[in-house]
Amino acid sequence: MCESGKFGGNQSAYDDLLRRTLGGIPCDLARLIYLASTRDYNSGTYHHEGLSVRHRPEEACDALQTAHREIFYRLASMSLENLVGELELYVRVSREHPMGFLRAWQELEPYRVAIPMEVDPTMVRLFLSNIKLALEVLKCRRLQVQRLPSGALPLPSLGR
Amino acid sequence: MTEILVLAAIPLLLLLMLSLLGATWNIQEETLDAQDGARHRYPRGVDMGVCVQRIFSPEDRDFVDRQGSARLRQIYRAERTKIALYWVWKNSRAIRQVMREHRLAAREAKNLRVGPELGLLFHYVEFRLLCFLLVCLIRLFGPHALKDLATYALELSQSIDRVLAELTSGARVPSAERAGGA
Repeated sequence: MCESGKFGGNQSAYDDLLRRTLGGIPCDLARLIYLASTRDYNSGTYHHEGLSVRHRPEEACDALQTAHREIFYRLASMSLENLVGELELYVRVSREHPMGFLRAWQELEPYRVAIPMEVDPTMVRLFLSNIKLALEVLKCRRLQVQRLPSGALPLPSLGR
Repeated sequence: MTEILVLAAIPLLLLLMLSLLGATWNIQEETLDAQDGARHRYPRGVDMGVCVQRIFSPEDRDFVDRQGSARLRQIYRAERTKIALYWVWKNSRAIRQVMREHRLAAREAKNLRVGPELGLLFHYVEFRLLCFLLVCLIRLFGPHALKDLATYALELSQSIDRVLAELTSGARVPSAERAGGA
């Protein structure tokens, strides 16, 4: 964990993180995965090279930790429909084959390591459950598309 | 005669319901960490109201229904029931723990205020009955029609928290004053 363990001293590192780094990431789910990747799994501390150069390392760590928690809570309280949208966008951005991606996420559950420390356990359960459901929804949609006969698919627009 | 029997049956029924509440949890009990049992049970930045609205809201169920998959509906219902029961269990257990701590502290207290203590007890019994009701209804119908009841349970638990905090600070002030005056 970060040394101070509490964010609130210096807002600039947090604003900098939001503007420069997280602003360039297309969806909250991708932001969550990114922020989790800046955390050391052995110590739980966050580290971001660029942010540590511009701000004090403790401030950078606090900013990363705060952003991680905020994005987690945003995702955990999101409606299932919006979460499916987030996941769909994340699959597209990852450029993996969608069915392969869904299978890997259902089997390996990599989203479990993206959960921040010291968050409410009910929110953690809700988040995990919603991700599981969102994966199932996407899989279900893919299977429905595959099952449709070619005649049932919409005709391509000839004018374009 | 009937009235006496009814009056005698009410406390017995209450006791039975409270004891049943302890036995109805069918989810894997976990050791609550220190954070769960602390007075400020919710970490900074969490709006538990939003969390409760999400768990008990029919919005997600309607979305799942629109997908037209029976399997998905089944998974969804099982998942949400599990989370709703977990929330009730966790909330109930946390309040039980702070009440236990308060009871132990009240035994030692010399300036116990009867009025607020009785009010607190009333709120606590109401909260436990509400939790029992929630567990039964979640099991019977699922969590989606219970948003208002769950929100009320959350508000009640928060008000118990507040009253406990006030009682604790109230108990501290006179002793502090005594210490200052001595």
